[in-house]
Amino acid sequence: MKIETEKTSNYFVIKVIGDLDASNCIDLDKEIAKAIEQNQNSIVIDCQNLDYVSSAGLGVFISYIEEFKSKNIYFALSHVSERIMEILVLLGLDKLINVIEKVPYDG
Amino acid sequence: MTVESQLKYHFSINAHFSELRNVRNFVKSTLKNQNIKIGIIDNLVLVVDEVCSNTIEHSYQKRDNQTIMIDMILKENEIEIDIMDNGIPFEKEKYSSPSIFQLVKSASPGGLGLMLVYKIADLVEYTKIDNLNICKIVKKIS
Repeated sequence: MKIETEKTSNYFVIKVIGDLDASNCIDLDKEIAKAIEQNQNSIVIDCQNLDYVSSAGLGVFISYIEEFKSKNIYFALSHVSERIMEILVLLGLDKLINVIEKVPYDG
Repeated sequence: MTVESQLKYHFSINAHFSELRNVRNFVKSTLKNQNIKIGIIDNLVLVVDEVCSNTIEHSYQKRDNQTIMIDMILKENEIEIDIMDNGIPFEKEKYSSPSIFQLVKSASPGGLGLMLVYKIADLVEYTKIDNLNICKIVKKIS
């Protein structure tokens, strides 16, 4: 799994590439923690090249939902594949996490 | 009397998170060769990953030099996967499935993997024979 980050005018984009599982979810956790520390107020996880995710990866998102709410941070997943969407729906996470088609163009 | 045809595959790994990728590849490649629907394969890959992750973390408590054994039995109408270890047994009677809202509120994702396993599998059974813990997963394929 590889992580790349990109700052657009309005969004802090974290691109997750490859397989996200129990062996590497800590890296994503650290990246999100860093973004919060840097006071990023709109965080998007780009899943375009995310090939696989297990509960360990989804657990990272879950563990931040309340903090995002309390700090008024916008959070979304973008480019979510049909397969990953299936898992989100199965767990009811589609109701708790914003899923957007792509990172909005912000010039 | 009819004899049900079945194929059995065996795989074992070191109980380490870095081995999860190999487990997924084993499940995926074995089932792909048997013309199982991709949706079922994806779900079983996830289930085996989740059970192995829990075994590494809870049963073996991330100790080195431990082994997880996996038997995959392909029957006519179902797939049975037995995931075995020699660690601390899972106490099913103490497990109550949390709601996703509880997990979010507590900011703790513990139990999410097992929630997926129970939602996907048609049968989940935990048994212990001597020092061997067996998690039996059954998924119907027709």
